[in-house]
Amino acid sequence: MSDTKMIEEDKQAVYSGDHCLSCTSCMANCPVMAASLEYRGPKLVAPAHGRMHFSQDDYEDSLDFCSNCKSCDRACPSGVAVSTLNMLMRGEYYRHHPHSKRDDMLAHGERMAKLVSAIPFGSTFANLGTKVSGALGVLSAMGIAGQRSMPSYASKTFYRQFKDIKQPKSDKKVLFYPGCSINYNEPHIGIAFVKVMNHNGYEVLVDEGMNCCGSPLVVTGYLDEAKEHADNNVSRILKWKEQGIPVVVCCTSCSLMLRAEYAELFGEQRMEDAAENIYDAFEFLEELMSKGELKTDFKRVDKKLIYHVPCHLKTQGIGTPAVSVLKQVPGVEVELADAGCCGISGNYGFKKEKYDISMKIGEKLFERIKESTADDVICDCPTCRMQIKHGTQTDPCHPIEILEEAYR
Amino acid sequence: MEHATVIVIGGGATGVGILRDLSMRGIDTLLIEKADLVNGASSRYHGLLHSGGRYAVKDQEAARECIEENKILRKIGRSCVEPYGGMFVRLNSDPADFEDAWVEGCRVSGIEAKQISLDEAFRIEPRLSKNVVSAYMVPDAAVDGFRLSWQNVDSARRYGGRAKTYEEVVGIITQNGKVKGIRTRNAFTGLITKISCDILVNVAGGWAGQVAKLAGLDVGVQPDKGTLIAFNQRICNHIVNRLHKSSDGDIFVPHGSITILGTTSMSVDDAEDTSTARDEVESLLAIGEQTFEHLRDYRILRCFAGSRPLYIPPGGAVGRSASRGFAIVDHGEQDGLEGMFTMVGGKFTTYRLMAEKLSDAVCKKLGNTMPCRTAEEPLVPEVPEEERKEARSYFPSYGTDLAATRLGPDRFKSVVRRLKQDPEKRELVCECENVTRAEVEEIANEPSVHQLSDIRRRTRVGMGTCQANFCALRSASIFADCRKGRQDDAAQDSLAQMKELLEGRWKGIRPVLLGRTIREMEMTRGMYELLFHVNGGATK
Amino acid sequence: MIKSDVIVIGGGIAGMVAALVSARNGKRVTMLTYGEGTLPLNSGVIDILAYDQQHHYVENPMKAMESLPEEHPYHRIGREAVEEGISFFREVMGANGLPYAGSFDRHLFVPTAVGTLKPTSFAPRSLAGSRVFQGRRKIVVVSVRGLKDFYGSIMLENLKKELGESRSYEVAVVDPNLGGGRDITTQDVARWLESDEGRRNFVAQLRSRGGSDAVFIVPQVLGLKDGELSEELEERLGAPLVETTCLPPSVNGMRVQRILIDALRKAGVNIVENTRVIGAKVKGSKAISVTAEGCARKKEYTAERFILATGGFYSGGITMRDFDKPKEVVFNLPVSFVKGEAGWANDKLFSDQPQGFAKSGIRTDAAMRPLGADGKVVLENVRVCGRMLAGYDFCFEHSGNGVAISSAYKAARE
Repeated sequence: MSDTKMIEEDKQAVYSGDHCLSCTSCMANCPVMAASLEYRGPKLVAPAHGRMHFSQDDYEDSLDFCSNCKSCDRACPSGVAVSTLNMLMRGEYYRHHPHSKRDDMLAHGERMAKLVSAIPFGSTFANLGTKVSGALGVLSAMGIAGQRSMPSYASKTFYRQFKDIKQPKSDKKVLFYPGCSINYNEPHIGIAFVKVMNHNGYEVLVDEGMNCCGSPLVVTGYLDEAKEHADNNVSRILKWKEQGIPVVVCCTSCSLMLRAEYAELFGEQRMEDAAENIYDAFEFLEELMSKGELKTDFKRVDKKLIYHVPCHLKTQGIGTPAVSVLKQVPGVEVELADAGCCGISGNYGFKKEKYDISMKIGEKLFERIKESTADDVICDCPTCRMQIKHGTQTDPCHPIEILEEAYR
Repeated sequence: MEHATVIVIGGGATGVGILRDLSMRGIDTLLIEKADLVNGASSRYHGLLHSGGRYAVKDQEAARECIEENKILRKIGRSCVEPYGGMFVRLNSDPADFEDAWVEGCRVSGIEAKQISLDEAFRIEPRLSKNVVSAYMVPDAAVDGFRLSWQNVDSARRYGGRAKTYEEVVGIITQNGKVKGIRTRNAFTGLITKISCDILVNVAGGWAGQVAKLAGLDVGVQPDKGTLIAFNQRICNHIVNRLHKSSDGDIFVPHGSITILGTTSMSVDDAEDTSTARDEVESLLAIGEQTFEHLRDYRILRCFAGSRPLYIPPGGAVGRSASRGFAIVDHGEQDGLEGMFTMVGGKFTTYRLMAEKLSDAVCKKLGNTMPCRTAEEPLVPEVPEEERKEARSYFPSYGTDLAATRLGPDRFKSVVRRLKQDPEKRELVCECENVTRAEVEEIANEPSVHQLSDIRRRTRVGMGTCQANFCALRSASIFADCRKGRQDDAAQDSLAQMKELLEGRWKGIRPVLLGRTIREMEMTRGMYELLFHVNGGATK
Repeated sequence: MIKSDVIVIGGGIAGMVAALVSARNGKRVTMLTYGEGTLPLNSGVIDILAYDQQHHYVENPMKAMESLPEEHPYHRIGREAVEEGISFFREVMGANGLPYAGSFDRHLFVPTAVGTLKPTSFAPRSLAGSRVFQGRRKIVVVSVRGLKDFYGSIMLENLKKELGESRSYEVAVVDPNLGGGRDITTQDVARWLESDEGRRNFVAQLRSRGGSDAVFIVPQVLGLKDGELSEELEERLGAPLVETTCLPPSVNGMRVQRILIDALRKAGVNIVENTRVIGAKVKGSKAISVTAEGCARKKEYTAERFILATGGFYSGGITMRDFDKPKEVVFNLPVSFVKGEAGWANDKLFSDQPQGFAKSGIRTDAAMRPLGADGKVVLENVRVCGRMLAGYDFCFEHSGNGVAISSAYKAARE
């Protein structure tokens, strides 16, 4: 890219449409376009509209098809934040149009989860409830893909389980941000992370004052609410930054939101400052490794793994740190699935009318996994894991679980 | 022999304005243009609809005319005017006393100039230099010279007005000290046609001197070249003027998704000289970056130049009527050639007023007493909202409004019909300016279209971000398809049309081949020289 | 700090070939990429050299190479590396189902979407037009209903001028029934043909238009992956099928891209996507590390050797914010260029001489190491390849992928 200063360094997506050369790389690499003839294609939605931003107030009908998987952003040779522009446009649309009940529910998973976890046996009832309403077709009537099962709630949230862990005190500290999925649905991943960090001499802290990163809100067009989440989270991250304590994240969609999308969407300098303090879990571990500080007292784990690298990790520009770390474990073999987007893209694949597109996008990955001789599927993203489970009947785990096993 | 009561020579803004004015007064009028409409100064300027602020100190009469005409054009040409409003900013290096004189000048001329706080200025124009020390808002606007001129012709047609393009006047027929008619030559066929008339109006702009010469007359016109730069993005949301003594490179005008920076001023020998050079670009950038510091970081789309026709009266100093900016010569009075008028000078903003004055003179001669109505009646009727609503399902986002303003109600209706009947026509030929296949086909079949660049000017195909990279192939192919079977039609040689379109773009790109513009050019060349091999020599 | 033996900067065709050659030589390779390279725009055929500096067509590229001006990168790369590099590339493609036809000493001809015949040295079988034009009297241009960017009748008119009036020409329209939604691209049609039903349908619609002396000319739609579909369809139609070059996205360019990425993964290359390299640490005449921007934080990558394949102006390897001040963005290497307006660009876009600006780039020695103005090597452990090399206008002379592949091969081998 050109050696421009200010304009290019501006992380805000809103002006980045101006860099578009119309080269079509975004269209050539868009998984939704490949699966659907209705989506006009990335550059023809918000980037095109963005260029006329000041003079027109019309909306592109097919905007709704963008899944925010960010394949376009990665393909773009000109630095256009294509999908974030789409999300900005979607947010703008919903400032003037009502949301459906379904979107409200999909966007506000945290609200529901908080409610459920506050009541004794709440999770049991809630899980039963979603199962029953699934069976009765209530969810389907709302516009949720009936083929899918909703993520079930853990009986005890991560934050609650965390309180029971006896950690060794240490000067080396990290703050762990579990995100909604690990906190409410899959706390065992968070526990595995804590164990891995403890093993490496780190004390893990948590901050229950942080809330949902806002990713489900952004993709569903609740931009103002997402901004409230961003403001709160950024203030807290900055406080930890002041104390020299990095914030580490296991969910790659959360980390992408915290470290990139906030600044792209809302364009505030403090968001960029906070972003510098966010680490993907394996990125952090890989850095320890390159400094020679990662514990290598691994036990042998004879496992062949197939790794689906989430789109939102690829977008972070840090490569595949889980591969370089797990490769150190004797017996572990990691092959990359390298089959593109899985198709679910957060809550996209849960929408009834997007289900077929979502499954069609995932076909290549499903096939690849089914053909593979690997023992286990690994993936850092909770919704990707759900999609893989749904499409292949395997039970994928987070790569941190493998590392934790090796340290056991 | 073909006849018209009045023949107007020159298809610029003034010419089409006169065509409309006279036609509305019931006078049979024919406009003759040697190329396509609006190919001279009327499209080759920054597209600023002056509030008059720029003349508030130097020439308050011109300033008053500007603000009055500005108000009229906003009313009659709604789809041609982007009413962004203008800002005058003074930098800390600009003399402060000029500001006082300017504020007073605006007051005297009736221009509403409202001072705003610097905080407000930076809020609405975040990229403005922090060296700005004071800012005012004025009612400037952006105006599309192409569209405004075509709409004048469309309007004139409804009153029986006629226009012929690609017909060059090669002779003026006179008899006993009176104009009788003209001879024209067709640009494509070379065919000579004689047309008789009672009155001949010469508004050929920079070419007015050459036209007058055909009648053995001498009209002093000095072409003055102005170079401008078009940037690929909205640098500002308002027209931004430097608040100082008018000079080069101090006006930024946003248009749709681009911004135009202008302009230089340089006397040239020939009105055809629209060449541009690196040093002109460099000097524009050097001045422009005082107002917008990051100017060089933006991608330049292209640069272009136009010639302002400055009038030099016989034996007089340049700009006799400088206060009014334009001059009407009645050659009957001045040279003893009855029935011929020449008008030169002036500015785009006041084109309608100029046309009115000249039409008044013509009417007086013809004994026509109809009043001028061009200030009251809109150029074209609005496209009704219900038609837009239906069209929205066929167009991409915001394409409907773009097409509606581009096409006007009649063509829009016809294009929407095409889109409705055949979904394949919804294909986007130009993805930058949202031009559908239906629109290109509609325009390609118009009698005034002879080559691909005529379609470009009418639709904006090839004028957006990709500078014709994608639409050169598409539009050339559709053009050839539409004109199949027409003998000797330029459209048949699709490769030549494609190349001509791209060479036309190149002319404006060549002097601004900097980093980002080169990116685009590498893509163009890769596509047309390598993918399509249109620059191949013989391979045998 | 991530350590590797070799770091390749740039993921276009040059970067990928350099990374693959390095990895197959047993090196630990990391490839840093930002955006797609030009393969989605590029037909993926290998032009070596089709026009000399006077714009005369050359029959034999390898021979004509010898009389190129001294500054030309082919003189650094050398005949041997050109042959080896391109042979290497052909092997990789051939092993993955996309065999390239052609030869080093004469051209084959690829039909373009506008109906011209483009000379090139190597092309996938499906694009290699000249293999089938000889002796075929019936030319059937297949246009696809709803497909934007392919205009059968225009192509036919121009093709007639190239192949002569003595043959018969017709347009056959195939309807894939993809209409009703957005604009249809070659990728969409290629996807349709990847389904059994699509192929059955395609064959049924075209069968009656063939014949023993017919040839079908189709847009670039014969499958997204390799050359398999084109062979199958030829067999079923009983007549050869030739693909044309098309407006981007280029299906064939993306076939090549897919195959190279697969090969890189298999060879163990660590690919880091979406990371822009913005600078380097240098000690004396040795590069120590490069600095890349990921999300929010900069990251350093160290290696013994760096292969720079960041491209020219298009891909941003070289930028120029101000006239006469081009800049190489990673190592700040000296850029060779024509100063002043006169030599920078020609009057015509489609010119009979090379464009000055297009020759801007980095000069190297025969080991592809960057040179300073004094002709001395600037950085011992940096190799430069691809579009950023100085001294050639790939559009004018038709040498793009030839220089890219062979210079990358040499950069990785030296």
